[in-house]
Amino acid sequence: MPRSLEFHGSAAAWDDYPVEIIDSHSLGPHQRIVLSFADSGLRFKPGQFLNLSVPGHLLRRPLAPAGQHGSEIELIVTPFGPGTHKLVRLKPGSRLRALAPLGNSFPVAPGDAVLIGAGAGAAPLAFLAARLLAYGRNVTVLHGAPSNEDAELVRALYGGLEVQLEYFSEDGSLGRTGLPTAALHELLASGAEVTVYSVGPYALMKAAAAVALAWRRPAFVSLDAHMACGVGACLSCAVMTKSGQKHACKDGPVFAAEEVRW
Amino acid sequence: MNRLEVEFLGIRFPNPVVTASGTFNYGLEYAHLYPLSALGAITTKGTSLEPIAGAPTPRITETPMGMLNAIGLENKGVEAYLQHELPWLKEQGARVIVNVFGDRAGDFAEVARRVSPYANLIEVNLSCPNVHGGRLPFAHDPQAAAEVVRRVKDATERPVLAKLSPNGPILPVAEALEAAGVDGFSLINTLLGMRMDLDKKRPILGNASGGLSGPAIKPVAVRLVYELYRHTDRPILGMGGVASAADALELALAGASLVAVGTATFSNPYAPYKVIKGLDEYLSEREETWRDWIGAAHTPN
Repeated sequence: MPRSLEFHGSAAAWDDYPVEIIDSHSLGPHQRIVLSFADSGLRFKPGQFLNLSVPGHLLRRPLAPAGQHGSEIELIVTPFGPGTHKLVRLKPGSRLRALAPLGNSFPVAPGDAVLIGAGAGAAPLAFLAARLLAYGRNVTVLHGAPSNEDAELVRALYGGLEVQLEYFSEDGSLGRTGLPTAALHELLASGAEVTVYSVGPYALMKAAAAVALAWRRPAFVSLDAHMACGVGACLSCAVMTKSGQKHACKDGPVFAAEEVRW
Repeated sequence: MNRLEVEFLGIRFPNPVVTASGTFNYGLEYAHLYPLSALGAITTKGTSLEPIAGAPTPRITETPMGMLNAIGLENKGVEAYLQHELPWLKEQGARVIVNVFGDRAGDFAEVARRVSPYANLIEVNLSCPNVHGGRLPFAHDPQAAAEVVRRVKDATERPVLAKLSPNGPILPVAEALEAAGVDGFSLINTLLGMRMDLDKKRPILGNASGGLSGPAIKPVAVRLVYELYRHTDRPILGMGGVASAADALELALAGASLVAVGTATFSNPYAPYKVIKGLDEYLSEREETWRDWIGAAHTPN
């Protein structure tokens, strides 16, 4: 397991910031929302998240940024329930509140990296990809989807980055047919000495973790869990690890795959 | 002049706003936002003799103007809190209400005894299941609840509050607890509820049912505090959906001497602090004090 450079809890204390939506547009089934944090001086690391207020809803929604440019934070929201449907309909100029920055971040491991994701999980992975490239790592991205619906998403997130991008669709409508985990297996079987990072549905992360561990490669995942407070108080987002029960918001969301009891 | 000051069971509180158990953990998460000593008190996460892992996830789900939770009483057990959180809270200068629970009356008492050096008040959570004593939770079995209070009273010098459940009749339980020597009441605990997942055709929460909290339950809280106030001479810590100074004042009118802010802290971590500021502004403008409002809805016109 490589010694991580920044695998730790959020060093900077979080706070509740006023934010404004300055851009919002559709990427197929997803929505790209750009938030301005004005002059907060806030810095996110890849993998960290914010807990965003939604008008008319009691609880905030945890979202991991796809990138930060100065005071602007890019989010990908996939409408699922009433809260996220409301979020994607909000117009630029809407003012919200965000608890940020929350949680730990992905370590920048030595050597090259494979990022394996699906859906909005591509957001923190794209942020991570940019960081890994800045550290001089070669980055391969394996993105999976049922069909070709994520074409716009991957173009928007990875288009400007010098990554090797492979798209996998289960129905064969775009890129390679099948699951990205099959390609991960091929890659690791060929002896690639890479670190694996995965964000997406639980089943994908679990499968990616199993492949990585089978080939004795280090892997990191970002565990998504229903949370209320986002800061470690409500104990909603329990995850089971080999060193006992943890909470995704405070101890994570990033965990070493071998630590997780899948 | 401090318009918010209130005495409650012999303890002077600089203001009546406390945190509700389970919504503020042991305070560490919020201590960098405002001094914990500025709050009326911190009510700790419910604490048991042994560690409890809690319920399967999902543990929370949003509802209209509220949320359901089934955390399953997760806590690290009293020993861990005695090592770290409780001494730390004391160092912060915070007043502390320790929420205790157990499987049997003796367990409640043992936790209360051990946390007493760090507690200003003990809050007894009667809504947990009475594992060894029949089908009802303590809160709905007046005799079992009274036994818990008797044992806890014997184990601690600190004043003891009984936290009442709105999921059954309150007055017969309150009467039995008074006879057992309870010093005051806190109410309301959450209302039991359930949500369904339409795709899975199963309850959303890992525990199936959970406790409803948030603005949706405030009228229930106001009504039950009002009802209890008419039947008891013991002081009341009121809670349920409090997110603003106006909400706190409603509970005061109904009969609460202290009020707890709970779920609102999830929406806004500054909520308890904001309620204190709001009360100060509101009462200063009217040249009134918090004490003027306690039970004021019961006075004849």
